[in-house]
Amino acid sequence: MELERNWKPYAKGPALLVLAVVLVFSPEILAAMGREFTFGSWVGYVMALLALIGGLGAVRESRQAFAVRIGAQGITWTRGEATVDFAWSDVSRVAIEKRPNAGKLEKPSILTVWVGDQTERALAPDVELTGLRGYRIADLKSTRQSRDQVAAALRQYGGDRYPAPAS
Amino acid sequence: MTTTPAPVPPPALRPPADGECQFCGSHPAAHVSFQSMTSIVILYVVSSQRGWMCRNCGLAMFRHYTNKTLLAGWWGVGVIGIPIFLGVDRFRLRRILRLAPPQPTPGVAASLPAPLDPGKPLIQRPGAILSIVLVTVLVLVIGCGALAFATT
Repeated sequence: MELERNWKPYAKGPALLVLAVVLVFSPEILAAMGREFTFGSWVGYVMALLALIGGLGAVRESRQAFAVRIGAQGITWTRGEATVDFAWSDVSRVAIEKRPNAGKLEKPSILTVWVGDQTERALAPDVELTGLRGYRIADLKSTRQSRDQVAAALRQYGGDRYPAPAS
Repeated sequence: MTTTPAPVPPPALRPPADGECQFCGSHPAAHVSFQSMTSIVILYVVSSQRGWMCRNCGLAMFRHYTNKTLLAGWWGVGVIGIPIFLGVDRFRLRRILRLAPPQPTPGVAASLPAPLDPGKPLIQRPGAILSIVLVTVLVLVIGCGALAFATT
């Protein structure tokens, strides 16, 4: 099974860039409506700068190569120019987890691969625990394949490395 | 010929699950959220820590975040929110204080080898001392002002 991005990562950057343009002209737009920023026009320009930085970052992120392949041999993860192969024999656990600092009601969506070895890979781990390294390889909210499809593939190929998902 | 038994492989490690402390992996744990507020003139920034915490780690987080609010909340419009943040965090602490002392969970890998040290009580921390000083000064200024107004 291969994971592909859905439309959301591609839309985020352009949406933020459009927002930045609107914010640059926000003092004029407000003036046309007979209003103004309470603390001055600089508020609009600062927000425009933040939207511009966020938009450029999102566009850059969406242009990077992304691929996750779940198969009988293991999981292959490509991000940008780096590719990491996780053989099933190296994987301690693979899980769909909540994002860090998530609320209790948020659904798990981060596909995380946990390995027990200390091998240096092309991409750095996102989490380091004592004796365990975690790689957050995909956010399933941003992929065309649903959480259930991914869970089925993990159950098929990963066996007991994929625990029963948290609700 | 004697045969030696094959070595038993160690149990596979796993990250902390629900019901286990996200910092030290101990159990029991409760899902809580602590927040702090930094106030800068016309802005305020809220930072938070959510997740499963054991009694020690939760108490340490509560003291850290409350101390941060008491230190950094006074310097802008957010000052009016200080009592709310303190009250809400204290209310959430009740769930942590009801927990039994943390016990290590076998087979769980965590970022900390042992539960966090809760550290000094809140009253001995800089935030509480600063807040007591500020409130005292405020009360004195208002009191002296009211007295001066009454005598004129």
